[in-house]
Amino acid sequence: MGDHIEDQVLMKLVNGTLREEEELLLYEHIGQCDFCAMRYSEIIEKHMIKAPMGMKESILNQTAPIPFKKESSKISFYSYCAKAVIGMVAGLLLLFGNTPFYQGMLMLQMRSYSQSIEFVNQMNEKMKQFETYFFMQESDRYD
Amino acid sequence: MEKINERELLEYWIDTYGNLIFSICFQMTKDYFEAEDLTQETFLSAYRNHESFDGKYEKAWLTKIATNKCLDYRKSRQAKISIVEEQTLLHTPSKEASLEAMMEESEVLEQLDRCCSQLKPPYNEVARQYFCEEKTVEEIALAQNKNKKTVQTQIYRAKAMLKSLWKKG
Repeated sequence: MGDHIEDQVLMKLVNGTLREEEELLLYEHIGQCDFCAMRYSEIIEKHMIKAPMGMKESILNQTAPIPFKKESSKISFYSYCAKAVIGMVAGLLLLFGNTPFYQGMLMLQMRSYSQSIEFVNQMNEKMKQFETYFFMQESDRYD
Repeated sequence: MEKINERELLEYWIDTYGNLIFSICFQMTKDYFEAEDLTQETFLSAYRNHESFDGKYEKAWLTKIATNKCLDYRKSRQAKISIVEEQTLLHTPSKEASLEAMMEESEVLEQLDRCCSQLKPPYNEVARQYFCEEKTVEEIALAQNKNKKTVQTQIYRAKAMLKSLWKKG
């Protein structure tokens, strides 16, 4: 065959007068060689058959983008992140829940909370004392 | 924006080379419906791999893709036939030229028409109008006073039956 398929052999290939093995060898060459592929296509162009109805639409439909794909993937990504964070926090709580560190933090929080209550009670007491003093002053005036 | 241009390029390829690629696939397989499937595979492969194409000799590039697709099909078909022959035949037939000479379009349409006439109603008429007379689904639905979906389903079923009828010859 040399580097390229001879014209006569190409015609025999198109006319189907070669043996199966010979055909396969020649087609394998055409599948790799621009020059022979071009010559082969030029012969076929003289005997063209119209493509079936609906073929173009069928091909284009197989390349149509899926709608809302980007949006749905964003939402699912954020949802995944949120779940991951919640899971991590829950895991940390379970892991450090009974450790001295966590207990210490809890104590600090409780202390500050009790200090706040004490302050409120003191204020209440002072308010009562003022109230008592005020009523005594008023009653002395009207006696 | 880039995706839209790729689709425009694919449309251009189909409009420019659709008949050529289909003719190549038909010449290599002699099967109308396999040729259609292989043509679709060719263009989809070109679409997916267009970035590897250097932009030169577009026709030759598509021809090579189609040729390789058809080669794979023929080799796998031959492998299946060989297995069946080994299991069922006493003597393996010699491998002579198995494909006929190039069919002209008129001969293809005649064979298509023969296959359509072998279908039962209503598939025979729907198939003839769609495949042979190249009417659209809308035109067929209007002419036969049918629902568009019904016609599409009938075409789909007719095609499946025609595929096996064509192989029988």
